Amino acid sequence: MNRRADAVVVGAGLAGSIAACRLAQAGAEVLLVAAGEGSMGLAPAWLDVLGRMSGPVSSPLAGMQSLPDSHPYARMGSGVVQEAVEFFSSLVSSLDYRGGLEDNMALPTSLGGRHLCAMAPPAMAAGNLDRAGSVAIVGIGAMRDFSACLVAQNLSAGGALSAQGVTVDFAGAGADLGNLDVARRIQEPKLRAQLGAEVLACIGGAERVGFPAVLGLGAHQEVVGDLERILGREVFEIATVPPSVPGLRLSSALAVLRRTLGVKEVIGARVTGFVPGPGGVGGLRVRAASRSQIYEADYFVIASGGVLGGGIEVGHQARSETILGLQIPEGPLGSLGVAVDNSLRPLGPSGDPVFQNVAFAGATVGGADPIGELSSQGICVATGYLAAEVVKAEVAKVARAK
Amino acid sequence: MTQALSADVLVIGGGSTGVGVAWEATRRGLSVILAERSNLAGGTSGRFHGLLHSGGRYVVSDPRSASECAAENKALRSIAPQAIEDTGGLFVSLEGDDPAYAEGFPLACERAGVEAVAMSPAEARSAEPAVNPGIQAAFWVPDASVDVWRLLGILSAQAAEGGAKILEHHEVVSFEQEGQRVLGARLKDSATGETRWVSAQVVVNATGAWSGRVAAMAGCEVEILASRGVMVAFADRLSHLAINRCIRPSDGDIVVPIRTVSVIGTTDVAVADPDDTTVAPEEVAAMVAAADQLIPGAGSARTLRAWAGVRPLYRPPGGAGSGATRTVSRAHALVDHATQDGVEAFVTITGGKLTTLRLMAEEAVDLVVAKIGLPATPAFVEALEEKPARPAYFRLPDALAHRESVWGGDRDAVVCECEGVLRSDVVALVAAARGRIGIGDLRRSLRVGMGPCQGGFCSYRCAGLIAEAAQAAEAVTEDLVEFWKERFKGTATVSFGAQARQEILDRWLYASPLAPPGEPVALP
Repeated sequence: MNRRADAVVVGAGLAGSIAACRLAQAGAEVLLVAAGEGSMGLAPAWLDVLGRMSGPVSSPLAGMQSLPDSHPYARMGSGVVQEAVEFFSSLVSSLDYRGGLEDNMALPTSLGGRHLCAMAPPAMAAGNLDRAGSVAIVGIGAMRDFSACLVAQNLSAGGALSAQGVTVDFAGAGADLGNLDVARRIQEPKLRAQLGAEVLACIGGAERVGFPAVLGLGAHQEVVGDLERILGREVFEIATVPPSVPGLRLSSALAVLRRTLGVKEVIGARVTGFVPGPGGVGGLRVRAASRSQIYEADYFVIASGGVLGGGIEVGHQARSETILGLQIPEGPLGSLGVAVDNSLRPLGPSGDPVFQNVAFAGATVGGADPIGELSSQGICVATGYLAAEVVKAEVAKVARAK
Repeated sequence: MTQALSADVLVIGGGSTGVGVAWEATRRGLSVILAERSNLAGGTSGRFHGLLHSGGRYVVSDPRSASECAAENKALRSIAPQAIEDTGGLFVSLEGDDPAYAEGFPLACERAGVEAVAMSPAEARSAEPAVNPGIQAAFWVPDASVDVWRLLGILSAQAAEGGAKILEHHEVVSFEQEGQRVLGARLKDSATGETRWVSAQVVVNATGAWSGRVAAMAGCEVEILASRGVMVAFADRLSHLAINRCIRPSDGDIVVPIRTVSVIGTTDVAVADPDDTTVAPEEVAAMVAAADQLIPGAGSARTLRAWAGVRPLYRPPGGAGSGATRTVSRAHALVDHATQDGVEAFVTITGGKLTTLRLMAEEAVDLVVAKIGLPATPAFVEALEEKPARPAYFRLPDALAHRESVWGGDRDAVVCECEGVLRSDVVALVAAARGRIGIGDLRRSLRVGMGPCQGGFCSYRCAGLIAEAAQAAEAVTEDLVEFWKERFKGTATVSFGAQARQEILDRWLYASPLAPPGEPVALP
């Protein structure tokens, strides 16, 4: 039996979640289908909008004005990007994002570098390197993916602030800890009190204290609150390699929001193709467990990810988008994506839209170099938002016609 | 200039040939200095497919090489079994391959002294289920795979114990000559930029594809045909046995299982510059297609990286004209420049194969000894004479069992999931080197960075451990970034499927959560 909704969204990552939530808020019946939970758990929860063009970008809003016309930001205009980011902030208001599009903040990396991003949750934003003063960087002995020594020495060498690296052991934790092991362990009040006391003994007069970004999952605010109380100073989180604990916090916050807003979802299902319909696509073939179904809708948002997320396949000869089978224009691996028009509809080789009722969003969209530009999350939020706006308008037209 | 050094023998080149010569000369009691411009196996030796030849490849085209490989295969197994995996190998002929070649193969093997056991296609399929089921004929041969860094590590450590001085990152700047006699060489230390003077009774030029250039610096002539071969590594071991195609030597005729990967080799393209190790995408596609013929399914297996090595093919003076490089002998050559060019105390040993390194070393050192005589006491003969009843070959399951026995809990931590490297392994090496160690050295010793993630996660962990133990973060960070760039050089031509996803992840890691201070990492 086929399933039907006003709109089907493919992908449960940042772009798919934004699109689904926005549509559901507007009263559309939304069916979200995804192979997995998206790749938000890979990236720290910082919101990269535009951090680098030919050099570092100090203001994403200003930088956007000089992007080429084919860039997704240029297609939609900076006003829409701004609306999208505001929508994102208010949607995940529980995470209390700091910053904005006027100025980038410089946050420390796990190698003591400066990462330029527009917004970040408070515990990450507190690590802003443009604030003067001394910091202590705390490593946890058995944690494999963070070196306080590298972070502190490289930060100090930059000259802007003085950083001191200390490494403490997590009592009884064994010899090998991953990011999530520490994040779960630190949620135990007793264990974090012990850890806090150990840290306090070795940080001297440092004004702020940086930890790897593993300060709790669900109990993040309590963990940060307790540590700040014990240490008597501000605590911040430093982005780590995956799995990213702040990224997982964002991912679960969005999953809760999708459910609260009434998005129906099927996670763990593969979209294997499509059936034609009046606007181009009539339905998507979805394979979940052992059965195949067709999900019908008037409009489709495809946010199935880029090369990393599996929305684009790179073969020996050609590169293609995996659901509609669109050919991806040649280009560097980091810039591969579907060519779209200003309404995010996919374009054929002639430059005309090939499907009228499909909008692409997120890393599947071409025209950008998200890794080099430091624009990944910004593009996801902006295109996810715009895709929903386009579909909303179309759904409203259909409703009026009926 | 730093202090002058002197020795009986100065060996130029730290590949398999040079390390072999240093080892053999030390064994015989000579004092030795070896100079290598990069690190041991930093040239062609570190860029081959890993096959310890049975000799079968050359029984028809080059019987002398075949016989030498057969004998030297046995010799290396007893000298350094820890560096060798006793995989065994197959020669198989596929549908469409010239049946006459396979028919003549057993007799050619017998004549060359290469052990080969004829098998029915069914027997071969049961010995190696991964092999193409359409094989027409099959022969078992004593192929093995060899970890070149481990092999040269063992030989150079034994030589060092016997008093040899191994100078990595020392390049020859010039030779010092008096009349028609070479007295030694000036070496430049690439770390400090200083030059040092080494005097020696004999200088042995063991610089492989570069030996023409080095000989010319002493006013001598050695004609080398530099022949580039491309190899592609798959992310898994595709077979248990090495699989050779039973045809005349040609492109993509061997798949070697080594450690956690399989390597398909190789091509044969003449190049003007021995440093030209470029890889063309068509060559990669051809290699992958060739592997798919030997092992169906290899064509869709995950590829890790592609690289090229430049073989030194020696052409004797007045030798054959400009034949194709495939037809030039793989045999080695020993040149006494006293007789050839009238230059005393200078010898070139070149050509040959990694498998025949011991024989090449023996012949070269025989010539050295004929020139300068032999001291009374050999240095470490005893270590060689002691041969265990069963050689202790490297076995992947043993290595994995050891890792599993110490992993987790309170005992140890994992640094590299792909290759099963433990924190204690890294810490021990860093301590032994007193901190003077880079991530590239850890890769060559422990294989960190050689698995599917190509260093994405383990390299940072290693950098942290090095920084904690010894070095300033700035130097470690610089080394880390160089390591990333070096790893990316080999992946550009194999960015398909799952490996393309990995490459994107690694690019993002180095640009975002692991971004170093200053300019972004410029990856190829």
